Amino acid sequence: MNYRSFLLFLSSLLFLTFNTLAGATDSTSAQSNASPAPAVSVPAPGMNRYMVVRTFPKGAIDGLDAAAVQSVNNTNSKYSVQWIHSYANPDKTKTFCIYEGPNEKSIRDAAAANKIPVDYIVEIPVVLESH
Amino acid sequence: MPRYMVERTFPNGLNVPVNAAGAGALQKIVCANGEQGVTWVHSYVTTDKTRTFCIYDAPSPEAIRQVARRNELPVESISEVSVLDPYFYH
Repeated sequence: MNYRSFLLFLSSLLFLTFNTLAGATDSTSAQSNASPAPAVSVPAPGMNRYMVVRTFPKGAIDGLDAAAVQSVNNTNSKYSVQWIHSYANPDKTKTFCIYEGPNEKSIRDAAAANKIPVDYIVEIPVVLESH
Repeated sequence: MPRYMVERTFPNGLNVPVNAAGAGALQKIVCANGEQGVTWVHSYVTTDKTRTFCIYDAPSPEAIRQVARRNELPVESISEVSVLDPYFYH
């Protein structure tokens, strides 16, 4: 490989890397825009899937940022609980949260530690797919 | 297209047989939905099968109610929703 073709190789490598990174950013923003639907995860052995419905005062979770989310995730991990994702209504006063945990109590305890409200918790072991 | 959470209650439990008949019944629903531009994404079902939390993409809540009537499915509530993903905040 001479110097010229090496340069050509290097520039195409840079181009590919840039495109891959740009693609990764695109898919990240797509996820936060709710499309496509998040994949349905399978709980690990000993864990169950729950639907946690919460009602918040208007504006209470408008300022939810990476640091706040990280704090919730950290507290959850102390109770062996994992927040999978949530569906929020337009004014963010009601959320439907998919959680995994060993039992309902662990999710209730984690919510209390995070100081977030719980309307009710129901186990949702089955997922029906449309295909 | 907006996404919706549709809560349904089945007092006698929702029973979808895991066979060709069950798949056929779901296929019929998917086809009826398609005529109103409604897409069923997936549903979370409670242990006793009396409640479902269904994710839909649809032009309006009314379109969801319309196909629910046609499919003879109960509707408890419909909320427009967006996804909060705890691992993609930036």
